[in-house]
Amino acid sequence: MGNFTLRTKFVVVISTVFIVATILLLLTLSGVTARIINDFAVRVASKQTVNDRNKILAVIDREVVLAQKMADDTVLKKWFASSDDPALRNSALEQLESYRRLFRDKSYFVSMDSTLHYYVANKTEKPTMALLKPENPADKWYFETMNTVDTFALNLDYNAAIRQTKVWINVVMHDGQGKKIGICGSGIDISSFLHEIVHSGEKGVSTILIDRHGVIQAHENQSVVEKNALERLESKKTTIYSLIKEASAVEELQRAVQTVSAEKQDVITFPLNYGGKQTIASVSFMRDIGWINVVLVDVSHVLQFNNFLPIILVSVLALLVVIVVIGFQMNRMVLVPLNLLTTASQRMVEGDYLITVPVQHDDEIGALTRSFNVMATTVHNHTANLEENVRLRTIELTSANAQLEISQQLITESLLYARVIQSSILPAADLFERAFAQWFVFYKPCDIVGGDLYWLRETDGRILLAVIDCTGHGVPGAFMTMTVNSVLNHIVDTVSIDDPSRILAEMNCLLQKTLHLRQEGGSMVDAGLDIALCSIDPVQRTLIFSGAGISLYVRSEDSIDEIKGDRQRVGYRASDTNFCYTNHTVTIGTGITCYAVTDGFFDEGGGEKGYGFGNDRFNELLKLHAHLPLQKQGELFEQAISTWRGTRKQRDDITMIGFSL
Amino acid sequence: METISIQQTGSTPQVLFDPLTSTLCLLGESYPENSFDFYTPVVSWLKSALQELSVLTLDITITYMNSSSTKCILDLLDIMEEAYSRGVATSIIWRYDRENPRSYVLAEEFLEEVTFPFEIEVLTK
Repeated sequence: MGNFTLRTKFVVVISTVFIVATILLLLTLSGVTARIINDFAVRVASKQTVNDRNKILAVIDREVVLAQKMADDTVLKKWFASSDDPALRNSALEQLESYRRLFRDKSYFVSMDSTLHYYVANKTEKPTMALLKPENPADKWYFETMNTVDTFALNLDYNAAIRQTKVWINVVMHDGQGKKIGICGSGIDISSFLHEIVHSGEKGVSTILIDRHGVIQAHENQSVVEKNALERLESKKTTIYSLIKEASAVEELQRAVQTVSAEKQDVITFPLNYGGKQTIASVSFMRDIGWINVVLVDVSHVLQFNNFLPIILVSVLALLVVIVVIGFQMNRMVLVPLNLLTTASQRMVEGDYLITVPVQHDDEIGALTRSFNVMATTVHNHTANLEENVRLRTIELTSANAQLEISQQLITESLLYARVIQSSILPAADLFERAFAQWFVFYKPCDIVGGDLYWLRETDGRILLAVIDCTGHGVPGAFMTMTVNSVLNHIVDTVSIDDPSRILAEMNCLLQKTLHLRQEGGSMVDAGLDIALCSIDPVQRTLIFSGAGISLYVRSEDSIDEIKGDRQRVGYRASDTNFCYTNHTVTIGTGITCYAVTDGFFDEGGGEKGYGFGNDRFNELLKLHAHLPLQKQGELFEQAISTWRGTRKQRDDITMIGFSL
Repeated sequence: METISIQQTGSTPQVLFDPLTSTLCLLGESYPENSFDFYTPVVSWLKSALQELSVLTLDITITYMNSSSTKCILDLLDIMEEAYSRGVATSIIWRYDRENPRSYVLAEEFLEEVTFPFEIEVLTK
């Protein structure tokens, strides 16, 4: 449910609750109604069986009492005592007539044991007399009754021809001494009662009257009753048990019939599967006629589930209404304000902070909405302040940047001009052109101006060439070069140029003085220079070299000689002012080339690990390019050091000069 | 005695004294715009340290230094030389990579300036 909206989840939850609650409600109701129906059926069955019995017995009892009264009538008894007396006979018949009118069936019978006369009268016929004969099967009942019965007996008789069930009430008459003197009584047609009972018309209720053996005596299906009446053999008669399919049900019913027949219990009511239908059976015993009344109530008919439908519908509707109301309230109180907040948040995400969400309810959502509004206002203020701050800071930075640019530009312009000035002290190309057969100068300060200097002068037929590396680079180095240039010019004007060592010694002294760095307790700043100085006689092709920290490389066709300068640097505080630099004299034959190079070349960082270019690689290059014109060699040295450096920054000023005579 | 510790930068070496071994290590490259500014505190420290210590080894692994740094190192050597003459057991170990012969050239130059023990070792890593 993770991806659904709150509303969807809510609808799903509500629907689920509704469905589950409805199912539970229906289950509970169906359980309750089943019980109600069952209880109702039990009550209906019990009541019905008692009712039916009473209905029949009420009728029979009255007739029995009347018949007993008739049997006890003194008028009759007198006539029975003197049967031949016509007066007694007439008064007796009159008396009988009055009984006849009281009997329900409007009939009576009287049989006199002394004469075996049998008188019978009914609605239409006047009293008639017949003679009872022991050998006549139709008269068998009389003799049996006289033999076995003391008080009275009821005999049931179904006449199939006229479809009439009659109960015959036979009351035994006694004289004053208690001797049996005859039988009198009446018959009651109970067909209409039976019909009334078995056709009660009540839906789902059926009544069956059976005898002790289960033989059906009254049933709504008349044909069963007729068949039983015509069947002489007891075993072939239809019993109630034959209509029941299940053996266990048969047993149960038999047990109930026995119990009520023995009058251990008045009524027994129990569930019974009758012919495949679930019924409630109620059994009671009608002692007077020896029948058992079986009332069967069809549970499915007595009270149907449909009867409860309105209750169920109302319950489900009520549930639905409750859920819908909750849903609407939830929507109104939570989802709608939440959607407003979501929309507002979305606007905030899009950068609109001027939002106020209306507070609709004074509840948690209302509190949240208020907090949101405060937050939006705060964010809006901060954003506005931030933008203002950024704007102000940007203006400041822009201005500072502009100033920096101006400064940078001024410094750069200044440096570029300084470079022009520094270049002006460097010897021009035509000087070299005049002095040497071939030559090259590779001069590359690491900044715009630098601390390296080369110097050339031709005086009195000699050429004086210097390659100088002053302490420091950049502007301080450049200042040094200007000083050194002046110092050197000054010295060369005063001392002989054919003694370079002398020039170096003079420079050593003069620089120390010039730079005023020799005072005790002065600053630690110390400055000086490395130098290679050559005094050349182009006619004699001789060269006198004197150096401090810089070597002169002399390359002939088959060898390279490095003539090292003295270790004593020039002009430093610690430099010995009495030091005598060494003069080396070299003959420059044809094919000899000389090179002087500042340590910036050897120390230039590059390659894989950023190490210096080194002397070995330099010597290799000297050999490699030996056959090339010097200008080309200059280019190749420059190229080689640039390749070695790669993307690194140049470490120090580089100066390299090569020449041949 | 105060110790000394300076972080390495692109143009200045790491300077670190280990009191356990009484060794001052210099490690990296040295070409500051103003070498004297950078080395002044090192020189002062060494001066005062050599008043207290009886043993000091200067362990240098520097692949490149400019000429003004060289002058400053020479100042350090002068101080150590002076202490050595007083009986302090000063010594130097200079480590260099075979692929960087300029470092060896530099070491040779310094070696000639001192009388106390000076070892030049090849870095093995």
